[in-house]
This record gives sequence, C-alpha cells and structure tokens, in this order.
Amino acid sequence: MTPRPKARVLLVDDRQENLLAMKAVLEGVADELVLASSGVEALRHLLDHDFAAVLLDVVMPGMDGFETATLIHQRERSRHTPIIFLTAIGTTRDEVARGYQAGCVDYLLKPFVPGILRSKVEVFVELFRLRADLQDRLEREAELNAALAQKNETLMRSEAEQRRLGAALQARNDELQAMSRQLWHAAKLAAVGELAASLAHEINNPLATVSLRVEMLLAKEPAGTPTSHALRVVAQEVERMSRLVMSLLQFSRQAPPELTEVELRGEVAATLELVQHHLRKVGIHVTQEIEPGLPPLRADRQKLRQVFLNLLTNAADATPRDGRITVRIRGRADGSAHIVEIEDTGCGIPPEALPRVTEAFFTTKPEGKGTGLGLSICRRILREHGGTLEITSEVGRGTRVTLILPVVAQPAADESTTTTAEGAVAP
Amino acid sequence: MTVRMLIVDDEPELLEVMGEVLAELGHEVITVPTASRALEVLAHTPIDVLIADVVMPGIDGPTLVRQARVCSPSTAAVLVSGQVTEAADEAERAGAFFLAKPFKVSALVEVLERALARRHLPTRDG
Repeated sequence: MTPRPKARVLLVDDRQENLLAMKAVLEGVADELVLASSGVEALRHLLDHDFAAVLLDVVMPGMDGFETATLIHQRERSRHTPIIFLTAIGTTRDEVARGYQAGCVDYLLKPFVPGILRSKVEVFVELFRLRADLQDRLEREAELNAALAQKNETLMRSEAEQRRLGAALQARNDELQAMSRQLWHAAKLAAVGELAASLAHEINNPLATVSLRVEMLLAKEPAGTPTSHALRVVAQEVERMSRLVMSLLQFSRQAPPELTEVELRGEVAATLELVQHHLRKVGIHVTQEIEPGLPPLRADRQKLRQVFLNLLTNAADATPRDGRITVRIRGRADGSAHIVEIEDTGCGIPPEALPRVTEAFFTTKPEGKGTGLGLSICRRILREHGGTLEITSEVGRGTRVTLILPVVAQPAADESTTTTAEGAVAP
Repeated sequence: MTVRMLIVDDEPELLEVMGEVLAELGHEVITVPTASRALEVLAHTPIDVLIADVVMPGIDGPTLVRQARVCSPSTAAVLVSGQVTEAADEAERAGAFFLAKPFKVSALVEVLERALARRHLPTRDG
C-alpha cells in the first residue's frame, strides 16, 4: 500500500500580509500550506507537488492570476488541480467569465470571510483525500486483480497438468488392463491345450475299450437284429466322440508345418462336419461353391483345418439366425494358387477395427467369447504356407475372408518379406 | 502261424479286451499292467510283438520299447496312445509302430501285420 499523499494547499498572492492572513485562517485544514508570492513561484511549486487546491490572487504584477491558471491547467500533472480565484469586490462579469475559462472552479471575494474560506478549502482538501484514497484503492484492487489473475492462471495451468497426468494415468491403466486380459487369454489358451491333451488321454482310453467291446459283440450278433442295430449306433457315437477329441487336440496344438498332398474340398468338408451341428442349432445355412477338378496342393492338413475351423467359427459367431455362410474354392487362372473365400451375412466389422483384426489378442467378440488369437493364428499359418489372408467387410452386410494358398507352399523366409502380403487387409 | 504277443497297458479294462480280441484272432497273448512286469516277461519268454501304451506310470511305453530292443532284439513293437500327436512322434523315435486310441480291430490287425513284416527285415541297428 502506497503512503497517503500529503494534502497540500498552495496560496498565491503578491502581498505578504494576504498570504499570512490566509495561512492563519487555514491553519490545520490541510497537511501543509505552501505560500507563493508570484505566478512563477506558484508554478515552480506545482512542478514539485500535487495540490489539493490553489488559492490564486487574480491581480498580480507580472504573470497575473488568469495567466498562471491557464499555465497550471496546461500541464498534464496539474490539469485537474482545483483553482480558487481571489478577487476584490467590484470584479466585472467579464473577469469572472475569464476566470472560469482559465479553469478556476470557484471564486472568493476579498476581503474574505474566514469561515467561508476555511470551509471551501476544507471541501477541496477532503476531495483530494477521497480521490487519493480512491486512487489507492483502485491501485490495490488492480494489484489484487493482477495477483488473482496470476493465481488463476497458475491454477488453470496446474489443472491442465492434472488433466494431462490423469489422462496419462488412465492410458497406462487401460494398457495394463488390456495386458492382463491378454495374459489371461493366453493362459486360458495354454490351459485349453493342456486340457485337450489330458482330455484326449482320459477319454480315448475308455473309448478304446468301448470301441473294441462293441466290435466284439457286433461280430457275434447276427446282422439285422435290434441288438445289432443298437451296437452299431454305439459304435457310431464312439467314433463321433473320438473325432471330437481329435479335433480339440489338433486345434490346440502348435507344431512346425508338415506338408502333405491336401485336397481343399475334403478339408473344408471335414471342418464343416465339425461345426455343422452348431450351425444347424443356431439356424445358419451353409453353401459350398467349389470348382470341380482342382488338383491337390502341398500344405499342412491339420493347420489348414485349424484355419477353416477358425474362420467358420468367426463367421458363425457374427451371423444371425437364418444367415448364410458361403464357402468358395477356386483355382487361380494361372494355376499357381487356390483361392478360398469364406463369406457370411453377419454383422460385419467396423472400418476402424478392420486393420486390427489379425493382430494377436485383438477381438471384437464379447468378453470371454474370443481369445483374439484366432485370426492371428490363421494369418501365421497362411504365412507359413507362403499365402495371404485378406478381409473385406461392410457393417450390417457381412464379411468375406479370402485366403490365397500357393499350390507349392513357399514358407516365408522372414518376417519382413511377408509384411506387405499379410498386411493386405483391404479397406 | 501263432504269434506270441505281450500287451502292456495300465488300463485294466482295455488290457483285458485287447487280450480277448487278439486271443480270438488265434494269437497267444500275455497281458501285464506295467512296463517292469513286461521286462520280466521279455527276459524269459520269446515274444513276437510287444504292444504297449505310451503313457504309463513308472517306465513309459517308448522307454520300454527301447529296453525291449536290447534284451529281445527280435521283438517287434507297437505303441498305442490316446495322446495322438506327440505320442506318434515318440513312437517313431523309439522305432515302434503307432496306433491311436480308440481303434478298430481291423486297424490293430493291420498295424500288427506291418510290425511283424518289419521284424523279418534286417534291423536298422544291424
């Protein structure tokens, strides 16, 4: 807070006795009374100080009151300093008008009544003090405002920082959650593999016993009897269970590719057989459009079955009741590859998710339903065969997965050479 | 020709039915529940074909086949298992034929014929 400025009053008169008289009357009214005996001296004082009021004698030798007043008000610092003219009785109207023009605010007639002089000056001193207070308050307010603005800015900055940190934290958290989900899925998949292996052992042993027992009984039973029929049904069902365990094992197994002569038609049929019960149950129709007379190709039978099983399962998961899955197999015109298309009339994949669907652990299926590994395993298997996997999809219309399998498998030499091929996810 | 067979499986039901099936086919069959018992038999009795389960407590099938080849080189070996994929590789490494459980009688007969045919060829180990 700035110290309160002194309320000074400047008394200007060429006559010493007048100055002393005024000084006596005004004693105690202001903080300080400054006396000047000429206009020039008055101006000099005005250079040094601000004044609450100037009492200015009009008639002075040299620079008179009007002139002095004009000069006072020309200066920026004293532009608004109140001037009270002191004039003798008999001042003309013209002179009064001139005085007001020169910037005086009041008139006092000489000889003056002490009480009037005192109270007039008191008013100006009070005004000066009020203005000073106001000025001070405004300055303080401005200071406070500036401080407030600064605080505000700091606050806003820290708030933004906090938001940024919060967002970063959230992102980390999401990442962590995704990772733990992935780990859980991976663990689950590994568990499925182990489970499949021990299940195979535990189920296949009793199945072997049942199968042999049934066969022995059948051999002794004449054909056509009800018992013989019943035994045949048991044999059939045992075979079905055995196939199921076998597929589960194949599905969960990871091994280097074993290339043999493979007929795609037969492999697709075998895989369809595995899922057809499920497809029938959920009311999905399957159409096969297979080019006749396609030669076999060299591929890993089990792995191709795994690919088909994955793609058919995906298609089934995406397709509503009464939907359709179409499987097409045709040869490439130059005979270098076979093209397999698996198309569904399902919900489709949103464009933003499409480029990521072959990433490991990425899934659009509900929590717990997909591992996010299916398509990435498919892509890996296709890569092992030197082939490609492309996906086109339209939300609400369906999805088509196109596999290109070279007739002679050329396993990719390394990752980098296959990135373009496997990255061929059509928009 | 009567063929003498030794069947080893820790599953008593399966062991029993396999014994019955092969006996009905006219073979002479010895069944034992463990590999160590099988080795005892092999030490005293000439066996044409050894049929062993892959996964067994104690000595497993492939180990039994390897030991059998030492103590009874003329015995052919067939390994059977419900754990299809890995077991098949193991059987091959042990120099045995492989049969996946469950199997048909015809499949068993076929693999036994192949095993016996191999037995009359000169062995790889010389």
